[in-house]
Amino acid sequence: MEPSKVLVVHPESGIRALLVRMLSSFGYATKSVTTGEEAIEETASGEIPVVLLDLDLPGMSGPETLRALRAMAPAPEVVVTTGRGTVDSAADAARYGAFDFVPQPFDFKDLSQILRAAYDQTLRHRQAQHIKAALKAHDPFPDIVGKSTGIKRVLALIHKAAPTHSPVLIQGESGTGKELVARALHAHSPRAKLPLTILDCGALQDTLLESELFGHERGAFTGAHGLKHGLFETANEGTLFLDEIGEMSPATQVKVLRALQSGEFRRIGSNRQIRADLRIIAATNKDLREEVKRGRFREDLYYRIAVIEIHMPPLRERGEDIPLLVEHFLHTNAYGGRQRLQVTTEALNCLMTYPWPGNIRELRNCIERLSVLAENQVLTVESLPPSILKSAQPKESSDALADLPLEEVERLHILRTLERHRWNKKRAATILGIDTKTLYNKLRRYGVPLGGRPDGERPAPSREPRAGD
Amino acid sequence: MLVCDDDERIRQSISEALALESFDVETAERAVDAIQKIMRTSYRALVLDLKLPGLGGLDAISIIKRLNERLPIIVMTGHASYETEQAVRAAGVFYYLVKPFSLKELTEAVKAAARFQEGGKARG
Repeated sequence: MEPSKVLVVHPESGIRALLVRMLSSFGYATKSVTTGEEAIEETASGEIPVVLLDLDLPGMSGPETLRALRAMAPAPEVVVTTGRGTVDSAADAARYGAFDFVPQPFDFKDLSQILRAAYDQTLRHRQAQHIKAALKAHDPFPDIVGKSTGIKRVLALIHKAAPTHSPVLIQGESGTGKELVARALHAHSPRAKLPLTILDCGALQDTLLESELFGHERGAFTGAHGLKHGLFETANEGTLFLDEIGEMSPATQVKVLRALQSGEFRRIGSNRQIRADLRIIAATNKDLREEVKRGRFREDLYYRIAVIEIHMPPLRERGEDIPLLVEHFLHTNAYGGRQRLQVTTEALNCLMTYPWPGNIRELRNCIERLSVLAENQVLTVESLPPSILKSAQPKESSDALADLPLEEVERLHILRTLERHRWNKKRAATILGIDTKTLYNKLRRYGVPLGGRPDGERPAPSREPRAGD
Repeated sequence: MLVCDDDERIRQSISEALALESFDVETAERAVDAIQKIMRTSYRALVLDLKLPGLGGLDAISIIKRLNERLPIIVMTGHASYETEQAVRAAGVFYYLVKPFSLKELTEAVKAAARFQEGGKARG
């Protein structure tokens, strides 16, 4: 097996040299750099599975470097270290997706084991990607989450429409996941070997929009000297996703219609016709039929793009999908470290009652923010933003527990009890009628950090009266 | 507004053109500098040269997209090969500028990007 590669990022040359020497003796192929900037340039090749990162860096800071490294695809696992060892920096690092934290001075045997574990994690991740690809047949649309009737209907339509070449029109409010539907349609089409090309028709005015769509010839207009191919050309044999098509001006609508009818277009400033074999998927948050009636959208273009129509239901009509979506976003969160955030039943209830005017996008942003801010890896009612608390009236509802597996009910109940009693595990165990050891075992099984919240330290404000406290 | 180009004259002239449109402009010489700035400040748009020393524009785009998916990226390139343009399109950019371009085209694109970003509008 080839030696696993580790990139050491440390500002001090003495420590750097020592680390390289020691890690090489443990069998790692080690490289080293001085700054965060260099670390990113070095890692961009995608060939470095593990980075050992000192947090006290000049220029781009340690935490910034960590964030940028974890934003790569594929991302390396990052083990962070600091000479000024504080618990705070470790907690911050975990939030931004560090694999582990190692204090200095180093215990090299420990360090080597942690790096090995990080390396294994990278391998597991990459294997998981392969498995995910292999399981495509089993769960063909992993990003479209939900089991409500509305979303099932959407999935069935995607399933039928994807393998065809027919244009699809996706309608739905902002934030309902229209782009995900477009991606799923493309990924399961015969055109999937090419990337999906996306254009937001509402963002650009006519001249720029047409330049993006059709490109321009050298010297097409004053100042434009170079050749631009445009989306009709670069998306050839692929899929072009025209988002916000309802915003397209009548002038551009005519040009797009002509190109779609003839399968040919001209770059701006050129007389040469170029053939384009495109599948069009369009999306809008408007009622396009209504726009046609009002004369704002061309009827002939409507019928050309709306061969198959998919309506995305708003999130408020699919509240039952919220627990699954929350779970999904916690799982796919870019900052997700090793420990998964737990959500209390009350918090979940609130999330299920809130009407989500910004739909799934708002929910996702909310979960992302909360996972960065959450203390002790538990998301409670108190950590929810006021806007959500205000509109959702949390009630002791048993509905939220409907359709949950027994084990999940137990997990939520235990977390809630702990929460109510400031993570005093002994007291929680007494109330739950189990011994402390059993409680610890259960927590370990749920992946709740046993250190959890150090008893008595920084008690979270609780809305619950704490009788007997 | 953030402008990233390794050519100082280009940084300068773009900054001046955008300042005339009352945009606050900051500049970065290298892609890693731009990435750092993006983590510290929220910009309304990024104007990014594709051919940069060190971390290239295309790699930078994919990192920046994950750090801030709502930041519109306007790409500038002098080498508009079909493959390059296709790769940039696939990475998802707001507008694709072929050098040499008119300052009018640039400012129009930047204004559209700022409007887009302000509207908080993102796909979905």
